[in-house]
Amino acid sequence: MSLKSKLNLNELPSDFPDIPILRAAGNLDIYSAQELRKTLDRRTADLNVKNVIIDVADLEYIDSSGIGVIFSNGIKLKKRGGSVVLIKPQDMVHQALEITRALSQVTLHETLNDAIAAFNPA
Amino acid sequence: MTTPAIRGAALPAEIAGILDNWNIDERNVKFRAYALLPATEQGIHYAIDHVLAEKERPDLRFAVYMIVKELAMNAVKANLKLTYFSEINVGLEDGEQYRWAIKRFHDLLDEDWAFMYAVKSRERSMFVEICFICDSDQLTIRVVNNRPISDFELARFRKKLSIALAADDMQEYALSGGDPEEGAGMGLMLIVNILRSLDLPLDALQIGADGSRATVVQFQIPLLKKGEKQNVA
Repeated sequence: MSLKSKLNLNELPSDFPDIPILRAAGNLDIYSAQELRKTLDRRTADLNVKNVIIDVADLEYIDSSGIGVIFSNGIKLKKRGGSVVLIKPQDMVHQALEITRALSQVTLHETLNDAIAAFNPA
Repeated sequence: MTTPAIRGAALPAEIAGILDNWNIDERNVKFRAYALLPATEQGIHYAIDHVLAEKERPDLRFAVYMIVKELAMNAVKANLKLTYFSEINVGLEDGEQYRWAIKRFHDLLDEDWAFMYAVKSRERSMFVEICFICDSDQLTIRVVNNRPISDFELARFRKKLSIALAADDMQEYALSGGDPEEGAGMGLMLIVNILRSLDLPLDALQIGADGSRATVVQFQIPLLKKGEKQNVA
């Protein structure tokens, strides 16, 4: 049994320098939330960044620490007129966000293309 | 180690071999945890399945899991923190030093580190007992830390709980002084929101002391659906 942090966090190439795109897979919990927090702090240090997209399609679990990091960044970006956008959360993650009433604090999209299209309406 | 039997089925060896002091009967389960590791989570899942097996309330399963995990994590984290602070000679009321140490603690906290300090907590006989007590119409979850809570910690807990109870949503919680990134505070806000989602009374969550020996956090969930009456023989 591996005792390593189970979050796999990557930054994906983005055509829009002010819209970072991250992919988070595995578990976002107390052991791994700091990793996401540090990445988001670094990527949102530039005040031109108003939106962050996180592809959570392969995220299997989220707890209060993970929700806290996403939520606090949501507040920060909302003040800049933007938001944290989550792409296709699995049932368990969706359920965790819903039952804790955190769902209303994030923007959800089915696909990355949908999210990008929402930022850049034709 | 003898593997206890449940309704004729053996407790999975990977759980029985890692978790301490399994105590299980038809309605109740309790076991000890020193950190929240994959085996602990398996134990929590197993216990919930066991106590809810015949209750026809599958809708509660995920909510109970979320709440137990938050409370258990909060309790074991307190022990890991205390073990670490004792090593680096920082007290819980040391002001500036405490703030430095808590930041360092959060930076260090991953599963490897938690496992290492769980072993140390175990050597110091600091444990958390997670108890599931089920009767015909109510499930009681009790998370017992065998260390009394200090007045300072109790005041902090109650302040966080009162902020969470007063806030209508997470945004209001953050704006009222709750720290959305501080583990226990956010966990409490989420538990309060789960209770609201289940339409349960907010005083279902309680904290108290078992004399000077232990800290007890407990919540109770009615197992009867609204309008359903208890079947009295």
